[in-house]
Amino acid sequence: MFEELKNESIIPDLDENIKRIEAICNDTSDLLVNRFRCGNVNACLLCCEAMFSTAMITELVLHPLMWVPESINDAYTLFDFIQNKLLLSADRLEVTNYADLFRTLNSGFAVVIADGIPLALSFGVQGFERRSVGEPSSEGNILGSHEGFCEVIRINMSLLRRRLKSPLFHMELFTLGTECKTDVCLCYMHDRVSKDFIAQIKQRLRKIELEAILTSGYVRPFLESERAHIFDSVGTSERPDVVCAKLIEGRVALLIDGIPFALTMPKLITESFQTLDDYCFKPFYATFIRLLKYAAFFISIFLPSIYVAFGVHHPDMLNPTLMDILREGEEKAPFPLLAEALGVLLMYEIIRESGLRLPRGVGGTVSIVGGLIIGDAAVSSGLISTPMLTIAAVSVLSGFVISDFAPQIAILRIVFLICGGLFGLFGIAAGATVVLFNICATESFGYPISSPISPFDLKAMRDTALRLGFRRLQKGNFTIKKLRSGEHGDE
Amino acid sequence: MNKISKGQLFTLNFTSGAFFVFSARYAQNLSELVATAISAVIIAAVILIFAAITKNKKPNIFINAVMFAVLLCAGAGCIASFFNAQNNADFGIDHKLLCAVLLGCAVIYCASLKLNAAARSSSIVFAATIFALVLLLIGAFPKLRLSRIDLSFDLKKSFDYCLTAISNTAIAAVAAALLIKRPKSGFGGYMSLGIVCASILSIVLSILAICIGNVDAPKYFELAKAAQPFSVQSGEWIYIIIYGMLSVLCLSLIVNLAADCLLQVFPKIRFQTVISALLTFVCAHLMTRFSLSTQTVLAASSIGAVVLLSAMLFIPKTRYQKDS
Repeated sequence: MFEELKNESIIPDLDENIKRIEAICNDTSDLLVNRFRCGNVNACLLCCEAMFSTAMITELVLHPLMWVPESINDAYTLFDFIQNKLLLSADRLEVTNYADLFRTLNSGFAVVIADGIPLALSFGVQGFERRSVGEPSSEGNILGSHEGFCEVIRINMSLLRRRLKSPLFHMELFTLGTECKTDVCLCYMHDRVSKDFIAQIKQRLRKIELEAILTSGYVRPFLESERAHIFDSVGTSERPDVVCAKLIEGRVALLIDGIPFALTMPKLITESFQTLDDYCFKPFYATFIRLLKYAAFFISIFLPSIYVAFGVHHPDMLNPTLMDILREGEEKAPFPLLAEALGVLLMYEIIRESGLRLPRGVGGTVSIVGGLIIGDAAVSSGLISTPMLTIAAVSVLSGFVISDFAPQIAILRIVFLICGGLFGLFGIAAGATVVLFNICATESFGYPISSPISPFDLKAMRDTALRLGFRRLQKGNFTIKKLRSGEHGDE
Repeated sequence: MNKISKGQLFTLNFTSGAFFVFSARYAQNLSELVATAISAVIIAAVILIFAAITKNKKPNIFINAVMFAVLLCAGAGCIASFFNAQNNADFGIDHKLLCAVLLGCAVIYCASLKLNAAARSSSIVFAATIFALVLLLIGAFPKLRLSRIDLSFDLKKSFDYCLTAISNTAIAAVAAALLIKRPKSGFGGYMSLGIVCASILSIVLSILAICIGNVDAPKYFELAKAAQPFSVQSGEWIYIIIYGMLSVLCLSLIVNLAADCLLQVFPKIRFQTVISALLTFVCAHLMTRFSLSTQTVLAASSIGAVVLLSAMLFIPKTRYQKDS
């Protein structure tokens, strides 16, 4: 629709123009048409109900229009006077076609049309209801800022600009979605991102022909490589401070109107093990926490599979005491070890999913019923052994440490469990190698997501395996540019 | 050609070498230890010569065809070594066909990815291998009895073992294939270093096995069982996982290189990775069917490598072009 309207110029005759506008939007109820006389010219103010601020439209549009002298007889002089003599909204546009007219109108702009001119003036007077800047819900933080992105792109842009005042910080606004025309903003530091990288992102965004962009998931697949990959090569963050840190390191962020998250590119796997709090604590503690996260990642994926592999295929590898404890626990359980483990993990996934989708109050109840009552009843009735429940609980809790990888961990945990249960330790090894190859083959705009571990970069290790103090980190500003394939470890 | 750094070439060769080291019988006395060291030097020298010969040369169809055959032999030897190890260690999967299917699926997927996926993976597997070896050393240290080393030296034994060791290192074929694909100077040294390091590993493990005593072939798993780190039984699962990863990595590398050679010979061929993998497994099967020893097949691949070395001498130099 927008493509067709782009070629349709605004009709100069006011009545015909209004008729056409009403016809295009099918006489929608939320279109407000206010005819008035300005100077000696018939004009009309168009706006979309509940999308504008009454105070702003009065102060910035209606009130100044009252000062238009009676001597103005034609629309061209009127528009010239409004544009050049009246102090109206800072955000104003001249619109020549119906596509732009509707795009601005439906974004909360006030549009002025007049009789005898094929032009419309749009003034930014948005004032729709929105959620205010609040605490990020998915990225907890103790000592840092408590501001998170909200749904309005311009506010999100201001949250970034407030933190990055450098003139080198560049924001590029454009629209995506053939029908929704969602505003998106590409943010990057001019001096730290290659033109080629930006060109690649724009090229991929241009390929999007979706009608609407309603979540970041609509855009993300276009930014990732087409090869099937397990881990994400585009990151998300709800925190403006985290996005700023990524921009300073030479990444590119994409803000999307209506979504309180920013997409960041490229995303390396090691980023998921870093949190803002790491930089608030003492380096030794931050390093300890970081290593703990790496350990938790492996525990969450491999612990149930190794337990089952030991129990089913390699019982002789366990020491006698441990063997006795496990045998005692498993003897009473009616199901084979693999089936039992699969059952427990699937039950956890069901409880988690049900708790997530239900209203908050009911969700809590589901967690209690699922975790305490079903868990306790299953163990006391002998359906599930205590060691198995312990192993599953440790694995699931470890997975919470790296919330970024929740989908991958959930799937890989079950895949490895099947590998370990059916093929023993060799099955786990073969599966691990396949996953490792998949990770190493995944690139995000030419950046291997496995870097800086492989290709190895010693300098990047200061803030990857370890977290050195800022006295050392500030030396030789690190940017990810050098991790790009061909510029670093890979030749 | 995919972008592979010198460090990655080292780790690729080291990890592939480590797979063969872990699969093989270790030296049992001073004569065999000396032979292992000599064979490592000889192989490293051959690779350096090969690097010098292949520098700035683009292989023709004949070279690619010979290389494909050599890699098939090396791959078959690799599979045979793997199943030999599987017979002697507790992999958790006793059914050979099932094990072959699992290994085949993993290898086909890994080999179908770009070569630099293997190169990057090798760095991580290298780190894991070193970690496992450190654990092994910690576990073995309290049980070491240096008096168990047989210090008698027999030149003939040493010579025989040296030949065996050379024919066992099919990794030379992998290095040769990598060199053909990467005809720039300065890479042979890193590959040689990888193989020398793998041989040093072989010597160290041999010494450990001798000093601990009561360790039978394949030494790696027996040694791991005997040298439990921190006296915690079940520590050997780490070694089985590392060995499993090394086997998939090494075989994937060989299949990937073979598939590339096949593509050079038949430019219009499709599913070259699957074909190469299947042919490798067929070769391994025929090898066991006709009772050919792993050593014979690996010796054949070594002879093939020598043929390649000679053939490359007659290829005219071409300007090296960096592939995207």
